[in-house]
Amino acid sequence: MMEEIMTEKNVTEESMMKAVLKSIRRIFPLLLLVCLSTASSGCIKKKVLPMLTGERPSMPYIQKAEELSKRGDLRKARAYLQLAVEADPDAADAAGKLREMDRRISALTMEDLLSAESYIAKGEKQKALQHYLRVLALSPGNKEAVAFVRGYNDETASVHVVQKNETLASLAMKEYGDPEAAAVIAGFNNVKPDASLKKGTKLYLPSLDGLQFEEPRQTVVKSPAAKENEAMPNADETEAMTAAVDPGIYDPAGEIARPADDLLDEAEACLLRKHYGTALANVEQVLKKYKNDPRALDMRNATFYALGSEYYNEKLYHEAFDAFSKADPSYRDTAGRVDELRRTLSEQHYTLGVKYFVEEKIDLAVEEWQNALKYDPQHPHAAGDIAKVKQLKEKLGNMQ
Amino acid sequence: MPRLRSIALCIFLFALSGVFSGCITGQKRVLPSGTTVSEYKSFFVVEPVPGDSYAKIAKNTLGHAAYAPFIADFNDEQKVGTAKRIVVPKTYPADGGARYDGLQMVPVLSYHKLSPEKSDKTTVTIATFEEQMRYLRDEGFRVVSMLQLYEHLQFQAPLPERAVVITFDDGWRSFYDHAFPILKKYGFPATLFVYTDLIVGSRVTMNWDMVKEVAEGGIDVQCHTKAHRNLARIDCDESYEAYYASVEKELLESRKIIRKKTGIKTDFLAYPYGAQNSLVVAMLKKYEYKAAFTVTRGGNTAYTDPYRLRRSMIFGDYDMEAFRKQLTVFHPWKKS
Repeated sequence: MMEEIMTEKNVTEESMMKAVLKSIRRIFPLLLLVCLSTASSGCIKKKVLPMLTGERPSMPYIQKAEELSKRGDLRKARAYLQLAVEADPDAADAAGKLREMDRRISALTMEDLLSAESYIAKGEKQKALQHYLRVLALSPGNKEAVAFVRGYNDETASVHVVQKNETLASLAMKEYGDPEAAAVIAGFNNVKPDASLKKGTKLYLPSLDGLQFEEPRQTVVKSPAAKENEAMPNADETEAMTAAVDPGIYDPAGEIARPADDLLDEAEACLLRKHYGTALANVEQVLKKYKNDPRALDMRNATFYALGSEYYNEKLYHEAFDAFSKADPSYRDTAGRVDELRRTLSEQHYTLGVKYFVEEKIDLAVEEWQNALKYDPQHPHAAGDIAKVKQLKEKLGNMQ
Repeated sequence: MPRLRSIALCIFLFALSGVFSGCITGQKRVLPSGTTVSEYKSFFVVEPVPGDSYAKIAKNTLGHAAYAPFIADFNDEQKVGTAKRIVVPKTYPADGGARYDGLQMVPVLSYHKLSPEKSDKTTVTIATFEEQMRYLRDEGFRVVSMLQLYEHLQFQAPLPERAVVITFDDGWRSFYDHAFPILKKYGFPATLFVYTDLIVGSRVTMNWDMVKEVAEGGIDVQCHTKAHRNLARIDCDESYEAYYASVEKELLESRKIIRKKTGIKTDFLAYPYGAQNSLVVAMLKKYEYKAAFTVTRGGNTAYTDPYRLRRSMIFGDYDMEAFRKQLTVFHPWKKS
């Protein structure tokens, strides 16, 4: 019974195997075809063709790498060797060349790093910079080189630890030669200008290099000594900043000579914001150079007219009169406004005079009536009243 | 016996498939255009067909046309149509512009106003401006944003060769009316440095809605102080205290106003008149400005002080020769 089952099992196993084999045999040509077709695209080209023609797919990349290496561009040469290896992993020469290139690059990098460091030790920053840039051309991520190049022109405010009995003023005197500059230390460190200092406090002392004073014209720059011109563009930026200013942009005072139109455009904007002072300053600057510039003259009139109107609305008639008087009478209704203000002011002075007269302050009254006449010589009563007072005074004098 | 044969067959098939899979290291695709793209670990290799461009290749390999200039640089800008293959690296080093044969310099152009007819130091005619933009495009300059320049100088991101930055100062109306549409037409990024007191919307100046509109249109809006005072100089009768307070106000208020009016956070400054001193630089650092621009001519290198970046003003009377002179993009090392 047992045996029977065993053999039966054997039989089924054998027949199953046969069936599998048969089916594999049947689809074998098909499988082979599929495999070959996928292979033909990459494999024949890569493995069979090179065997026939002697050319590997890595060849053009290696050639390009050699060309670049001859030119000196090792970084890009390395990239092409890397590509050669990735595109053709079986090309032993590509892998070897890549390893060789890596060795060469790291040796050169090390050489430049050492040169840079020795120049730093000698205090020759510019030469060190050149070597660090060469390092970066070969090994772009090199941390030491990146840190040096980025910090090359960095200015940091120095830190001072407050000593016993030091004040902001004494610190400013010591650091900047001017006790008034204490305000700068105070502002920069967010302390009050009159604050007393605690020993041990840390204060930033920002440099005042390049600070200019309008009068007299001088600069507190510790002017960097002229340095030898290395074969590098603007390696000494600070010097370049002071020396290489464009004569077209700066006037000798160090400020840009701005074109008239710029100043007038700005004046127009200022006028709109009622910044009459700035508007006028700009206009006068233009008129100093171009005496009869029509736009400047027009702007000048517009500014005084606007200023006059502003005062008028505030009932500041004297100020309004002064402003309107400075505008050209032919500008808008300036003449009319001036006339009106003349009458108003004249009347104001006359009324004040009457008030003094009633208070028996005769001299003050006469003075005000004279003022009234100054604004309006045609005032209907002022002249008559002055004459009357004079007559009265004379009569009184005679009587005495 | 049949069992043995079947096992042998299996082994053979397995071996064959292994050989094939080892063989196909690059995934090769053929695009509908006929362009073939093979992908390797750190490169694509493209066999282009006529009609392909660097922009198309960039899009089909790295996913975005913006990478086109980097690919063009790697392939020495050879014409795509005639090239047998274009190699596309997957990454580009942030090298600060350091090359084996010299150093990249990035010019930053500074404009103020455009005008239909007249020109002076700070006013360029619209026609001249357009001609200059066309020149940049046709001569293969890469107009990049100021932020790209900054990241390049900080070794944070790569920058294509022949990169140029365009900036406008102040906030004149002509930027909105004329420059903005031309920049848009050429697809050029640009930075607008506004001094906030000017943004009042007069006949000649922009208003805040316009500033917002250009910002939404891709213009990078940055700070040019509040009242355009000369930051480097103490005025007559001005005390140190008043000077410090005034500079502080110029640097902080302007930023606050821009933020309030447009929602834009500004990190960069253009000095009025390009004038700065060490104290102003220290204050900029204190207030966490990232960088600032002068109007000293010349290109910017990796070692240029980020708080004294250079800009070249383009004057209205420049002819193309004078304009070209502002575009130095490389400083070759002397051959030793």
